[in-house]
Amino acid sequence: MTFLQISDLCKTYNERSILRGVNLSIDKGYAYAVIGPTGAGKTTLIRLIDLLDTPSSGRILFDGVDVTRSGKSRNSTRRRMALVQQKPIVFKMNVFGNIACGLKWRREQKHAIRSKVDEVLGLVGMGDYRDRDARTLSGGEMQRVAIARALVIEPELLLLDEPTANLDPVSVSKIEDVLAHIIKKRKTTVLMSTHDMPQGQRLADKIAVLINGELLQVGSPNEIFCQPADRKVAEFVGVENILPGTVAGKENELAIINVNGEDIQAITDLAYGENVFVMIRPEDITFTRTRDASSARNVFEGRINKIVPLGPLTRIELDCGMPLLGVVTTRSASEMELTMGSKLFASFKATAIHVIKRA
Amino acid sequence: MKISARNVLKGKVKQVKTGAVNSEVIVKTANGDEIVSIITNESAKNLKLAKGKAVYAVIKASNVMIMTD
Repeated sequence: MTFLQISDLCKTYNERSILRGVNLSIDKGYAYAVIGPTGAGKTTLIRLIDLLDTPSSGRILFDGVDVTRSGKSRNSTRRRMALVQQKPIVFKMNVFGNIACGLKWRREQKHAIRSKVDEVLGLVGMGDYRDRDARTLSGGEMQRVAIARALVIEPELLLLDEPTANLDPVSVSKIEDVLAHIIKKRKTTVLMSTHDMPQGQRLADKIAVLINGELLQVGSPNEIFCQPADRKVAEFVGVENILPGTVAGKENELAIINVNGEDIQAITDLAYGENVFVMIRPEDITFTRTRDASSARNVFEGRINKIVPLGPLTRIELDCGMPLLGVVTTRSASEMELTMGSKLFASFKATAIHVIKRA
Repeated sequence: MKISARNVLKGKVKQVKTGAVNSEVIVKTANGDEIVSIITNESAKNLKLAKGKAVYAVIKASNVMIMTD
């Protein structure tokens, strides 16, 4: 069931277009992540949904009611959602008081406030901090207080704007655990923005990719990461081998795609003669020292022109008439004695390639 | 065989199921575990895959998913 319907939403500030024709349907009980680079318009979109700002054009339907401009429905709708901002704000009082304020404003009974606050304090793992001055907390702890303050009012829609930006890895992990619990156990409808792609993949049922004010693709994490619909989406989700080519042969769905004079075999339903982009994820490339008999349809000989160690993984850039970037474990790179300029074979399966039309 | 993949498992082809474009190949390792691979029909033909043929199943570490009960 569609809970939030965003249609053709545009926002312009000082003649600068921030959001351009955004369409998005949010179903009740699911978690959505809007991912995109910094400056893509994610915060503007969240602020418009939270009714903190009005769009230049377009419509927002919340639970079937148009809340785009009407004052009356905007106030009652705002009470049905909660926003956690990137930079948490805490009030000059203890942690309990900070979390309780939303309930006090709603004139809840004292005993109900105590019980609800204690419950969410436990949920965010801050039970021992109940009486601490909130201003003395670390950034990660403040953010957990902000999440608790949002949760305690039992919002129908929880909005999170970059909830873990600028936090240390331990705090990020704790907050992600809390969010995962809310999403799975409480079935709260969640819309979060993040520039951390794996975070979107870990937490969300669906991902929307927002780049330069345009929503370019909405789909499951698997669809977004393995079948990006657009070159910009592919680049953003880490497909580093994006090669322009032309379908030069076709037998059933197995196509031969000519890329810079080399033939790549891929599975695609695109037709002969079509201009395409061939996309290969670095982790789908395997390297061998010799040309061994293998089921991989694509084997290219080349020379290593860059080795970049990244902790447990190492990036290998190979020049084989076209540039190919692969990722191997650092242990493999060491055992294979990979060095700059050395000869290597890169192989990848035809089924590992994603092919899209090139305009 | 010097290969970057961390997992190279020796086994024998148990079954090759040929489809329109791809073949499903089941490889049985010495301790009885079965690994299923999808490869193109052309690759299956080139490697002359048939029941009982000794092969290696190669899996990159980044492609292995871990689950618990």
